[in-house]
Amino acid sequence: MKLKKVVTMILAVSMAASLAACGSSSKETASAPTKDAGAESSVNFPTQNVNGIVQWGEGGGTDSLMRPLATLAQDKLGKSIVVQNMTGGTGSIATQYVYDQDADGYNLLMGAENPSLYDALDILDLTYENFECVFLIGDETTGVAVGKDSPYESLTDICEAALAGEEITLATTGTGGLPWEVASLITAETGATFTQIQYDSDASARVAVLGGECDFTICKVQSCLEEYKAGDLKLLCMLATETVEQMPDVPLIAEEYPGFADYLPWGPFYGVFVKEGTDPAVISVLSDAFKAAYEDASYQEVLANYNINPMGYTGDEAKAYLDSWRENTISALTKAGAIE
Amino acid sequence: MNNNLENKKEEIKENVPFSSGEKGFAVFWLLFGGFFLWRSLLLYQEHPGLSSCAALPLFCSGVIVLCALIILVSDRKAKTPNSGKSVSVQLKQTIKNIFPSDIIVTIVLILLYCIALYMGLGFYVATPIFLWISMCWFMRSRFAANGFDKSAFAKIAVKNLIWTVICILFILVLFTYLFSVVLP
Amino acid sequence: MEILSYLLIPFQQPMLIVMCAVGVFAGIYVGAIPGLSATMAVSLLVSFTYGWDTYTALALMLGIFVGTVYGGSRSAILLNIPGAPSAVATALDGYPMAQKGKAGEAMGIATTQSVIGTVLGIIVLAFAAPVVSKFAVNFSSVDYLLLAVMGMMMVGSLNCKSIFRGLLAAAVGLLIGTVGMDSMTSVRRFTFGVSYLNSGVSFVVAMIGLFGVSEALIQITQMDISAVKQKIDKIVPSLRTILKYVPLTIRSSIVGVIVGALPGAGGDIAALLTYDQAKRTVKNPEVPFGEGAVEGLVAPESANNAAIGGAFIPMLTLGIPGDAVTAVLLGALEIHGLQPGPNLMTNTPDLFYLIVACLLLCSIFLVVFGLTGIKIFTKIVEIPKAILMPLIIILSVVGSFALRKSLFDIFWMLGFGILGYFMKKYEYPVAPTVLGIILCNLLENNYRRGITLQKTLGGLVGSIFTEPVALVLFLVIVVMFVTQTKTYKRWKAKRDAQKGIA
Repeated sequence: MKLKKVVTMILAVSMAASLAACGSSSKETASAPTKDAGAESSVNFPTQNVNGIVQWGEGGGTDSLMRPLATLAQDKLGKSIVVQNMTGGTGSIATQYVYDQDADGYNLLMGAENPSLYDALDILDLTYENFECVFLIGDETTGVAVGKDSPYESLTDICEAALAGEEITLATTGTGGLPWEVASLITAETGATFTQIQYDSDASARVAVLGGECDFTICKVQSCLEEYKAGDLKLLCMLATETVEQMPDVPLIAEEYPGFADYLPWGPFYGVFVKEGTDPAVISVLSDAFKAAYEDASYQEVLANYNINPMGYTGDEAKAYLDSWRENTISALTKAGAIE
Repeated sequence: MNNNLENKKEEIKENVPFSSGEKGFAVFWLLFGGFFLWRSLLLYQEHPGLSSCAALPLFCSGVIVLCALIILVSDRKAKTPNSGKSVSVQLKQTIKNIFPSDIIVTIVLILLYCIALYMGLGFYVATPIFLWISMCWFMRSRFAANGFDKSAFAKIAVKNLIWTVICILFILVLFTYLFSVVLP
Repeated sequence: MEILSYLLIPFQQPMLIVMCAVGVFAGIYVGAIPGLSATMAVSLLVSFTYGWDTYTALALMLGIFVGTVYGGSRSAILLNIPGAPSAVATALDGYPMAQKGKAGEAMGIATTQSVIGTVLGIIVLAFAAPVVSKFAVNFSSVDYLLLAVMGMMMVGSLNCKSIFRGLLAAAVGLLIGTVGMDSMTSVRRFTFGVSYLNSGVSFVVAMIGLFGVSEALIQITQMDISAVKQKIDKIVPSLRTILKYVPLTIRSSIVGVIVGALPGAGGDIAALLTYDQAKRTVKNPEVPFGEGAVEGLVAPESANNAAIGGAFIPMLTLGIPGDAVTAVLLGALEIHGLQPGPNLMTNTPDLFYLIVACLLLCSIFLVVFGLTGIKIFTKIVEIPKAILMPLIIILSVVGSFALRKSLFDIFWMLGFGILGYFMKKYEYPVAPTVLGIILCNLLENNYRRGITLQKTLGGLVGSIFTEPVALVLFLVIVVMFVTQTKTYKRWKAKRDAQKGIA
């Protein structure tokens, strides 16, 4: 009996030691490339680990794109990027947190498109204009989803029912979240309004539609693809200019409401940001690291798995995209009467 | 037979003495609840409605105030070591009860430790100092009971130093090395 | 019989077995340290194992998951500091047992019952996943609200001087839970301009302070009472002991699996519910609950481990996470190119059964590693208080700092510690406060959703009667409430007396 215990202990300790060794060896290989990065830039960055703050929950869309990117980028940086999640307030809690830290490049905001609208929605006085974009990964296509037992066959059905006075419930992730944004666009075009029920994440919103608590929601392709294939969710139409490859039989929204063509292409996007005023040299070190990570074949595969339209912008190109996205969306929302 | 046992338990519970300051604590909760009730009302005025962000805070602070009042009323006749004494004696008793010297020293040490960390002294400097001082203080009966016993102190001081080192090593290995947790 | 071949995959790839073992071993220690959580560990691993082979990475993460859920009970029993919210209920009876010198026995029973719970959860996962997930998806906001209320009702079952103290403590907890930016409207509540509070009071910080530091302070006032000598002869429970508690374990595990399968609830709520359930259904425990009843240990430990299997049910059948850790695992699977969703069981059944097999392996390792380390751990409680208390304070500091690297977390934790000290000194229960903080989000958000859907309070209450699940939960709550009141107790005592006579 005692011998067994001793053997177990030895086994356990050696396993733990091997794990620790794995951990430290990967860090060793990580520190090797520092020489290149360090030699290029004149700035001594980073000298310690960098924090990556994801504004949405673990395992969600944003998180799943950021973690692999960070893992690849940290090899190029030479220091670890420690990814944590800070959810709440449509991502504003994380945004405020990163803004409250020093503008030294050690705290990265890893977010989706929501911060562009914070000031227009009175959520926060900060927007991406208060941040510098380190790297813009890509954007996504979204669509209208209902449960498999839903009586609605098309977006027109839903809007007409809403206009006729029926109460149509929409599962959202809050003001400024994706379903809310699209709902406002729909209202602008059709005049139909819906009762919005707020959930903690797009996964919970999807469950609400699957379980019948709400009539419909807006999904990104990656979130609903599997359920669509299994028939648990019906996609009524996509907000895109071209048919989505994996969903060939789902119509495009402009076929029912031509006015939508003015807003498209449009979709949520994902990027890494630092607080404004950060040293441009530091930003360029970060941008290079993320760009290299993005171009890695394994990451491109992740993007393909998630049906992300890849962009990979940095610097001025990213800024131009952000500015035009914000302008378009705000003017659309204003026209919809969703904001003043 | 079970019945008797339960009755006895109830009896004992009713006769459990209240300690000094216990009734005062309920007053603290009343003030606490009252303050948040006021703030919740202000919040409610800005965001009215059953499903607003002010609904639950309002409800909770209301419950706190209500419970505090009920506790105050139902306990007002309870006997405590403080009953029937003057205010100054009551205060002294309460402070002796809730703040024995050990606690005061611990809290002061903790405060100093926090200040040290805040001022950037660093975890690996502030912590051993805290550990060693608190260990020595807690063991003071062994060397300071009847006047300062130098030799006993020396023995204790060294033992505590060893313990401190063990603790720091333990934390070092576990946190920094194995789990890469950053320390202040 | 293909299933059998899938189940045997780990034996063809011994690396998987090693990973499970390493994971469980490391997980136990991660879970035992307050402040380090399963979610945190698994998230770190996702980044860490990005380049690894999918199955290997998965095996490691599964091991850590199983280990941490169990590990939380260690510090709960020994130091009265729950290592994770799922261990809060464990501390309530586990710690008193340790104080009576039975820490070894407590940890032994916690281990065996945790393993049984894990296995039961896995069995449900393997055989009934689609059925359970259908049920779980249909859980509406009202149902979650009632579940949260059931969790809060635990307040009533704690032995405190008066129920109003418990209610007050619970209300304080709920109130503290509302501090910060509201997750639904982003309105800042009770932050008083302090930007640190925008993200709210972290419940881990509150838990470590209210349970850990406050207990250390109380122990300091009782410095002359020396550490209790621990009996280490009865660590591995005899077969008879295990069998004695099996019915309770099974009951708790069933609740654990179902609650774990609910996308909105996890092991922590399961543990609280089953602790309460045990308290109400076990008629004559050898030791009263709250003072070291073994049943008070068995129920939550088996429930929170069964919830592990439960959490995988919606994750693998629908692609919807059952709790925070499975949410991370979901992301990990997707990163590795897999597609969790309704088609997973048909497209990649090998993945499904591999997970089942790995979880079973992890359970075996749990028994091995769980039981072997106990002797050393019990020695910890025997360290002289003068040395142990400062160490606990420092560990609490590290644990609360590990969360967000914020010095303010440490200060708040210590503040909670002092508050907890006052509360314990003046006989106000601390557990309901922690409960309130943990359950605040679940309770409030589902309440607000329910109101938005039903428009009025009356409508919300009315909707309870239109759905079978809600109705059942509501009736359970009514029963729970009624059995607590004095009138019922008197009626029951009279009836028992009459029965005795007749």
